[in-house]
Amino acid sequence: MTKTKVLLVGESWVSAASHFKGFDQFGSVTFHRGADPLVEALRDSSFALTYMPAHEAAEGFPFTVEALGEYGAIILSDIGANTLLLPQAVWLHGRPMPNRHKVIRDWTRRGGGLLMIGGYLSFQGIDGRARWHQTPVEEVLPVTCLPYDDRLEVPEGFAPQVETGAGHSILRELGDDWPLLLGANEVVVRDASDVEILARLPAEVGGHPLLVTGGHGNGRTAVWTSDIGPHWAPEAFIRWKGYPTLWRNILSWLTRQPSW
Amino acid sequence: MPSCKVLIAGESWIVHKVEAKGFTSYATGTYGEGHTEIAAALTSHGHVVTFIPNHLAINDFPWNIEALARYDVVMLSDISADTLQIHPDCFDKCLRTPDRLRVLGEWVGRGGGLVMVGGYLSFSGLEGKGHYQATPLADVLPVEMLGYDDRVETPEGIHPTVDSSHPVLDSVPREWPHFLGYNRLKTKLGAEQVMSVGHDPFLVLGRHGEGRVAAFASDCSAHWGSPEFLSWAYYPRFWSQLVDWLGQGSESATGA
Repeated sequence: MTKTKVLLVGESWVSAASHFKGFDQFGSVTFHRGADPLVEALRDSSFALTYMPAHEAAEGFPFTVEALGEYGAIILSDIGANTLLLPQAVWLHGRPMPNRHKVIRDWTRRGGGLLMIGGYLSFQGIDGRARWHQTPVEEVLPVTCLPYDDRLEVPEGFAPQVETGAGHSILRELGDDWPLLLGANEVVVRDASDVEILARLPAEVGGHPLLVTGGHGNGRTAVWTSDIGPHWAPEAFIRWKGYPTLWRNILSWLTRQPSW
Repeated sequence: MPSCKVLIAGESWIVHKVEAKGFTSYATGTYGEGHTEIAAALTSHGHVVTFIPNHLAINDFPWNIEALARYDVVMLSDISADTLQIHPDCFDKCLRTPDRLRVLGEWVGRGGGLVMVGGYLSFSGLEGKGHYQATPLADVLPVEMLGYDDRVETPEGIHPTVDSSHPVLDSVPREWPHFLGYNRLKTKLGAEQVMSVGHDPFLVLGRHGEGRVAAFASDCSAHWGSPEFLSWAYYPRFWSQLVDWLGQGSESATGA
């Protein structure tokens, strides 16, 4: 069976830490990959995942709808809007280049499946730096972004409220007792007939959307406003038996697998 | 064994971390302390611990013999010489200030107990930033320091070995948990190298005047101190006995 190709963009970062001990200061540098739990969850599935870390995306993310055509789904996770707007040709050399936000929008319209997963550089993100508000990518999502820092930090944890009554195929075999999450991006659900809220934060932390599906043209779109791994999605969430099912279900629905 | 009053200085840090994700970056800050295990270990054996973290040591580390006399043992762990030698009054205002390392050495000479525990800002330290080789403590500690970056990183883990029996190791097994690194030191003539790590000293004991001194080449906390060492059943006993031994100088000095 031919596997459906999925492109995961983001979920990596380089951190430079300055350590201050009394008078002295020294630095350390670390490269982090946040996608490992998702990569593991899709192992031996019907999806072939290509993982493009954030530092490769500025130059490596395709510049045309045709080049994206090989993928059935794209996952934008913890990657800010700037990374796709400002390749070196634009930023360093001042040459015009295709706007990849529009490329993603047009690819979705033609039938692609687009998923945005939350994080410090998703939706509007920390300090508002993810900056997807009022972009062509936001245009196709079933939610809109706040124009400012949209993090919902819930250090005490929240239990997702699952809309099992929706009867949506994404919720198959997931039950309604999901492990705690520690945060999410706050977004606003679009008022459109094809938009469905499948899970929310509990009312006492605002009742904001957690898992929402929608569509644009011939494409399907979805958002998961919490993270795929720590710290918003803690170890217990990753080890949950529903964890691989959740991602496989979302991708199956997005890419219109048979019976989805 | 009477309980000792122990001053632990160092073992804390502030981290400013810039995370770059593609084009965009943001920064986070954290404060951390590494004295938890050793303070608990000493307290569990009846010692009384005072902790001064790095950022407070600049002002609060004792300035004179009288202030040091409140303690029996001083433990310097991951605190650089600069922190104790260069006060803002000196650095920013060009005022003369006491050299607290000279004061500390004099206090040891009169019977105080001093141990330096290894780390990135102990002995010569990372990039030489520990900088003790060029201070009055170089004459007090029982080891010679390299002067340049003295770290030996052993990510695969290395087990120290016991060279000779000593009261500080009473009822402590000869098989120690592994460590993930240490400062490379050289045992001074006349000092006693009680433990080794590879071809280097691990635990060295000595005397200075009426006082007692020790050098522990690895860390009492993460990351050089492995989880296996920090949770080792003999961790409290070892540190407590080391403090017992160091504290005996002051006991004889005061005639107690």
